Amino acid sequence: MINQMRADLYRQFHTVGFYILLVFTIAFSLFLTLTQQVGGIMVTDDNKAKQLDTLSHSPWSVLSGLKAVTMSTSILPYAFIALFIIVIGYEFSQQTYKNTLLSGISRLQFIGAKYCVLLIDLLALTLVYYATSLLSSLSAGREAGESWDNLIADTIIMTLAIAFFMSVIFSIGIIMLVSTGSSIVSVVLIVIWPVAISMLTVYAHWSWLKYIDFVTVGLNVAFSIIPIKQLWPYIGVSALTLAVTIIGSSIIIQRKEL
Amino acid sequence: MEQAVLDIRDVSKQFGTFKALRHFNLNIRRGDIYGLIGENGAGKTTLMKLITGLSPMQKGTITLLGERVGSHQQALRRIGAIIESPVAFEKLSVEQNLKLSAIQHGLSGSSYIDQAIDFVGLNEKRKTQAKHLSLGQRQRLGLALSILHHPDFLILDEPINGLDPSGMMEFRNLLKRLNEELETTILISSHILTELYQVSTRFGIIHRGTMVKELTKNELDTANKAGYVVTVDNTPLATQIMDQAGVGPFEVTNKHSILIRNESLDPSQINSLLIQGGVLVSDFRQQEGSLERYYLNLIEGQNSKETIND
Repeated sequence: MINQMRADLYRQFHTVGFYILLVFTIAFSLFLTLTQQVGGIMVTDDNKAKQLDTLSHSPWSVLSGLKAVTMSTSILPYAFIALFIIVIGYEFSQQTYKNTLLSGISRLQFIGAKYCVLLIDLLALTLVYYATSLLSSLSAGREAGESWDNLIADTIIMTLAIAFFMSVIFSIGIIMLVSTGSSIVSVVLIVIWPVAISMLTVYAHWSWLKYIDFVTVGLNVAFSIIPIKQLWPYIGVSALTLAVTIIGSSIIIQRKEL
Repeated sequence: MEQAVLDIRDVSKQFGTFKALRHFNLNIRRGDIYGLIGENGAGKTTLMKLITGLSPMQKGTITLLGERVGSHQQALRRIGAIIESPVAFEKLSVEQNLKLSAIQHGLSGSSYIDQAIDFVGLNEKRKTQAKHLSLGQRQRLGLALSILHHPDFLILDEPINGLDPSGMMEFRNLLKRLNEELETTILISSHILTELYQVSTRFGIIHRGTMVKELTKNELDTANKAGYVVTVDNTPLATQIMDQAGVGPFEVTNKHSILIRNESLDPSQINSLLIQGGVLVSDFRQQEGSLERYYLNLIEGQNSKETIND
């Protein structure tokens, strides 16, 4: 599995698309931080409306820059779909997975490796996204707005929360890809999932949907709207979703005519 | 005792109502270049996918390098394969594709890559992206990818499809070198018998999912011998007469045809014998040696058997 992950990372570093995505991530974070823009694709609730209002009516510090880019992370899954295509979508469209599976790797290791590489990529790019905001705020001469220890701790928590919960949506994309063999269907699902679940939560008032509204959960954790004590059910549902999608994908691929 | 690299026993595979493989048996020994011959749709690719685990098993057992297929994937580490068509990452160069595969196999150092590129003769193209390679070069890249880790057993599904005559010859020579220099056992499929004849040491003829005939190169040479084809109305009676007269060797190739593998016989004498014995001889002609004809006769015979059984 480690060899497969190394191979995927090697291929990724030799793919132009990955560098375009890296440039986009840096440029997007720079743009938001330096022009003091806030926004994203989401269904806004009271908590987030309050955050938006505070950010737009107060002078920006490094901390408010981090909060602003966090508010805009709802855009990131749409951009990071490119990662999904690079890491696993391309393998299925070109059928190169046959070479991979013939190398003696088990189906579970294959899917596990793909998910781990996606998670590593998401963590790395989200970290780049926050680091760019932090450094560009500093270069613009803004005040920290909080102690440096807290700023660094916030950045780490935000990165982990945003990247992890985003990876859960991507894992649903993986099982869809393995089931249908279609990159388009899985990409459409990744695009629709956050908005559809957010809208259903607001309009249908099904409270349980909040556990699978992964983008919003990530945002709420990043903003400490969900306290640590209340976080475990969300992490539990996400972990269960990951287990179902990864094990389910490996069972499907095992039973499929490749 | 020669060790079996591949042992297939009573394997059946069905897609809906279509029976792709029926009670299929095959045994490949270490050092063989086994040519699997069959028309399109005969079941060759299905068989290869079952061996490599790309298709789930339904009935029967396959033992690959001493390990039962379906339970573990360890044996796959010791094989190389091109199934259907060689696949590579289009935007990566020849060298990068091989590097990627080397990482997957846990191989370190560039010696494996250099050896594979040298072996298939792609040195001049090592920096070329896979998408810019010709069909023959892609086949060679596919072969390089499958032999990179020095496999014990190589599985090649119709690797000469689409190659021009010089490409076929090059590929054939590569396979012979692999077998002789690296002692790689090879299973190669094709619907072109004459091409496999030049490279294989053993042959299996597959038709409609069943193994029709297995033979060595010597046996194929014998089977391929020129002779006389006699078309008669009553095959059992004709064979009885020829047996009594000591004519032979001969083989009933289909419901009305007998191939006499003896070019030195007197055709008029046999003709008279048969007519006197009450057999109506409608055709008596000399047959040139032809592998394709042998193959077609065999398939025709098989079709007749199936028609009778139906």
